[in-house]
Amino acid sequence: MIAPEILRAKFAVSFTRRLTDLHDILDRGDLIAAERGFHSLAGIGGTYGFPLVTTLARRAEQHCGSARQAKVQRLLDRLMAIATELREERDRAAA
Amino acid sequence: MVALDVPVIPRRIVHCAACRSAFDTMQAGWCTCVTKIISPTCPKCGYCLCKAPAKASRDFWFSAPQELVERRRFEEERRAQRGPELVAQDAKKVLIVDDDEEIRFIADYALRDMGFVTMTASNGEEALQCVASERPNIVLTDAFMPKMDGRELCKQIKIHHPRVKVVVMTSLYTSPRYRTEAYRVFHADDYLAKPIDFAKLESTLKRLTEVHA
Repeated sequence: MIAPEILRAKFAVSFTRRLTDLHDILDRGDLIAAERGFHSLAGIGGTYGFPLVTTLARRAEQHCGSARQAKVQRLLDRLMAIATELREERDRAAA
Repeated sequence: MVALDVPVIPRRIVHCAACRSAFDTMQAGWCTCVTKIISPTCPKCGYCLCKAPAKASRDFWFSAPQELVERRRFEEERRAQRGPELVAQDAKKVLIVDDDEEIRFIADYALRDMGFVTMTASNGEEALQCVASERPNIVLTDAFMPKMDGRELCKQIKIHHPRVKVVVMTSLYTSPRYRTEAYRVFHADDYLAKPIDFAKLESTLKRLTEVHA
């Protein structure tokens, strides 16, 4: 099976990129594109072994569907905090 | 003729001449062609260096980084223990179809680790061409994709290549209604919910390849 540290390191990079993209999408107010982005993130998060990412992304996806941008933004901030933790963890492991 | 571009200086990254995508040879899987020199395969389309002209293959290995040569030696030893013909015959081909590059990467990585030979496609149309040319044993497809989605792909495969097993994976097929639709309307052989549970994926694919064999 895939080594968890390889998965975490790879996810740390792609997770940040996806969140940055979502941030830009939300800035434009494109909730349809954001819904797709969160849907994709929900699938990938759990696949990498991060169920919390899946839960938060699913919730954000639902809020996009009902056009609650403020709630989506709060969830995005929580996801950003997880991404920061992951990056720090990866940097510590590399040091 | 399919060939891989040969780098001038030793480096791990090469471009597949078939699909033009760049890939890291240290991360790529090995081909199961019955050749004297096993070769890295393109993770995107599955083409391998052993299909290149002999000179291109020789030049590639001449300029390949030492770590790749070591990795190949390790694989050769592993195969020598099992017998190369066993690897080629045993290996089951799985085509991974998903529009998300990352899902393709991770599924590809995991399935190669499980001993499958893998190839990937990013939509249904590309997958259908790949099924016709590569004849995989199993197609593992996402349900919702651009161009041709996984359900239509499943239907087309069952019409044109009925021996190929199809596993549909999606986060939306969790309700019994969708599950029934996957089996009855699109004739999927199995269904898996996303996020992918790799233990479940392995058992599903092994069960299907046993039935297939």
